[in-house]
Amino acid sequence: MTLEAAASARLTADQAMTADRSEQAFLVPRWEWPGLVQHFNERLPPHDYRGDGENPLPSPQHFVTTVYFDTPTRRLLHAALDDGRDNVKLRAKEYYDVHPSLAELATRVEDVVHAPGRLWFELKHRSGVRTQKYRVRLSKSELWRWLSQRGAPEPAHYAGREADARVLQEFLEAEAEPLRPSSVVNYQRCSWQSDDGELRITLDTNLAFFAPSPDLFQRRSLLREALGAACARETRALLEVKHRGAALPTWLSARLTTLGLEPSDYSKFVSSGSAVEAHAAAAASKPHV
Amino acid sequence: MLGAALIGIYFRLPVDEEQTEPDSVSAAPDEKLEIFEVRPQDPTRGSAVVIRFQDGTAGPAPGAALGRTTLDVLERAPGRLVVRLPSSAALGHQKLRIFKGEVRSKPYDVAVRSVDWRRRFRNLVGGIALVLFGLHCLGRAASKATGLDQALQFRKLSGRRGPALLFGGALGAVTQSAPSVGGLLGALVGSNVMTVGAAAVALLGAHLGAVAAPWALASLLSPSEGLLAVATGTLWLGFASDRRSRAIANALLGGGLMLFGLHVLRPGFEPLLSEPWLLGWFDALRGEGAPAMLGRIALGVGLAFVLQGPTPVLLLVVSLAETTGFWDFRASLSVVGGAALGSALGSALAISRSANGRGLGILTLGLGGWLTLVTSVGLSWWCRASDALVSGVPLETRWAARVLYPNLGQHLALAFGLSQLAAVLLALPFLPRLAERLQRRLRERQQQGARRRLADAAVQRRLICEALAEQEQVLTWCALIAPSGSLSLAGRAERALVATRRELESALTRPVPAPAAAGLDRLHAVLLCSLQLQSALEATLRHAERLAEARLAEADPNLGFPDLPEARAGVLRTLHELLRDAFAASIESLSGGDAQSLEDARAREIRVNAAEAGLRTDVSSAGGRGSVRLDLALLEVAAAYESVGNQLYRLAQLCSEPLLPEPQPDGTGRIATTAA
Repeated sequence: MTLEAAASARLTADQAMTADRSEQAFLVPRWEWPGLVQHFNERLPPHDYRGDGENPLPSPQHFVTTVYFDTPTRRLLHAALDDGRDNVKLRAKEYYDVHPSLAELATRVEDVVHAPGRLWFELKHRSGVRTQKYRVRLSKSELWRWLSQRGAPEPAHYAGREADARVLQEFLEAEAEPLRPSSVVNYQRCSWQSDDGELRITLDTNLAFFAPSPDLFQRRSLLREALGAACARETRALLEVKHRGAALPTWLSARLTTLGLEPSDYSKFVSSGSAVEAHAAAAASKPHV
Repeated sequence: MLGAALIGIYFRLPVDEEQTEPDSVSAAPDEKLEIFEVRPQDPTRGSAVVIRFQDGTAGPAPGAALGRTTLDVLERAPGRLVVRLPSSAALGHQKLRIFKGEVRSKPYDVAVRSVDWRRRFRNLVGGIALVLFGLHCLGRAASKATGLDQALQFRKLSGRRGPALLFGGALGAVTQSAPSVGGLLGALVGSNVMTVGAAAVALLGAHLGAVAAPWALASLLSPSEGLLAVATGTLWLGFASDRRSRAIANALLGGGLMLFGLHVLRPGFEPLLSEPWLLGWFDALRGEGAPAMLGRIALGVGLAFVLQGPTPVLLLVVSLAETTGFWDFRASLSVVGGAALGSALGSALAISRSANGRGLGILTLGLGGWLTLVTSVGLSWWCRASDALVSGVPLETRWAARVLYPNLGQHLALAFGLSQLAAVLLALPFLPRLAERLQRRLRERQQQGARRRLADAAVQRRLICEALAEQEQVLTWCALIAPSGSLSLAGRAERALVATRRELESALTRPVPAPAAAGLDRLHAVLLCSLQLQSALEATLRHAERLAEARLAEADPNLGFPDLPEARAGVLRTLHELLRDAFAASIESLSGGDAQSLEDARAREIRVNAAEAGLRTDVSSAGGRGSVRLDLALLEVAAAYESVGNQLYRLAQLCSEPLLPEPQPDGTGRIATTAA
């Protein structure tokens, strides 16, 4: 059994335990954003994370920094490039909030930015429109130790289900090559979620792709301003619709149809990985002075 | 140009010169005594009267009588007598005669009237007010005309004794306020920009400058020409286009008002000629004995303390002396001499009681005492020196423009100036060393006073709490003023703000206890923040009043005052409630409660900003519907609220950590440093 097959078997097993969820992505031109946001605001409550490290302040602007991991040979990236609808991604996500209205009074970055400092370490498997996630929450140092030593942390050192931690650990153990940060994506996110949890919509804007710096996990937070110069940017917004029902609500599908938006295979992992590779290639081809 | 034209026109106009004696006076055709003019023709009891007459007879100058009462002659000149009416003269029409032996002139009818006390009182208080206001305008104008770069140059030079003296002189001349000079120099010393010795030298210079500057101005123009300066200043102000021009215009206005104040003041002293109870009071201070002398000095000290400097005292005493002549030269000088100590007292109170400030305060008091002592001890010497330098006799009587002794003012001012200058020159060589020794002594004592200082800090904290409570009340009034336009509420709010500012500023001049632990540093920062909050509230009150004015201006005769749309009024209510919550949280934490929750403060601040931004969006998107003036006033109120919110947030930041060390249970008063 190959390593991927083993991971896939675990994923399939866990799928039985977790509700199925469909995910569709759409690329939205910039001029459609305001109308779309207003449309969603009128129909769904905005979704804010609640739980450990939640932000109690009103009116935050949500940002996400995602660090994707890959082997030195970019095996995961190439697999995703080969089959955009069936692949695996290993990533760490830091969610942070910015409060621009506090900028006038801020004397430190922390006055404006709410960054819990802990990451979601996730293994995401996509199969067609279905996605499955295994994730735990832990500190950067703990994650770095896990990746370096391939030893799963004690349950006391992370938040999440042990089953998910096991899947992650098995995935790491199965991988012959070391897994290191390969690309970083930062974007602003607006989220809406129905009260029954059947529908969740996210609109990711201002996507920018960065090459990971060596000291990425030594930093206190992964703010966009600390990631360096972007290798590339995405001018369109990425709309992701996650739902557990058989079909999209009528109001949503009607709106998407009106706007002429078609489902897309767009992947932040693929886009960022490709951008970083292209950037590295361009840098290598520059003659040394 | 227009100002110059105004002055040019004035000086080209003919003057109502004092009537010279006609040639016929000395060669009377009928060889008889005859009164041809009495001024004023309706004198008050006890006042001076000028009689012009013809005298065809030979021999000494004539006397004068009112009815059967012979009058005191104050001045005799060819063809002119200055006499004083008795304070018991009967009211109504009386016959005034001059006589020489048995020869009597025909009677001249004069109407003796009683003193118009209301008029005198008006003149007295109005004159004093004009003098003080004029000095205040002069000071403000000079400080506005002085740029920071010039002030910094002054400061650089102040390290040496001579420049420090000049720096102080300029400061005294421009501010005309002993507490202001004291406060400023105290602040420079407190921030280690100036040494105590240099500041003491500057204080001496300030005293000299304060005396010399207005006097120099008054020497150039007579008091009655003050109105010309006011007119020129007003004209200048009308055309002033920048800060410096406005400052010069205000200086002219201030100088003019001061001079006109003197002009108005003089008649206010006339009743002193006739009222027995006032005469008795002044008589008690007239003698040569030690009690009278000490009484006069004490009067000078008190006046200078109340009037905030030596100049108003000098002007008052000169007016009094010139008009009444009750105090002779020496007596007047001893009163003015007390002004040095009085103004030093005012300066010392304004100087910060920080380690360095206290030294400067003590030194200031000592120097004030020294200046007064030098003037008082050498009274005769200063009088003689002044008489030698100024022409005329101090108590020479010459009736003109209600002034009985026109030379006295110049003599007195010069004698006072000389005494102060001599005292300063005598003190200068010893001052730096004295300051150094005093500082050393104070530092030693300071190290023993930690517990007392801790109590001071607790007082400051309580004071801030009280100020915040008062500010919260003002905020509530602002919320009521905007919709109601109540002027009485605005007045109460304004008075409350003035009182609160005074309290906070006085607290800021108190020492921040040393050694400065983190909590105590923050307490000082809380004080500063409270003052910034105060300024924001003052602006909020102004804008609330403007909103009320805008509603008044937009009122429709049929529909009445325009109401604020409910949604917008709701935003103001939201803002108000959020700020009240912020006040309550800060007061609670400063009163000894838990440290403030910064998260709550942030949430409030975000909501305040969101409400203000929402209102702005709402007004902007209205597309010009409704009154622009009203909209603008509303937005300004909301922006002012937001500014108050900013200060309250900063306050919350400071109160989010322990502020002040509490006294330790063992009673040692040790200062517990707080965790960062």
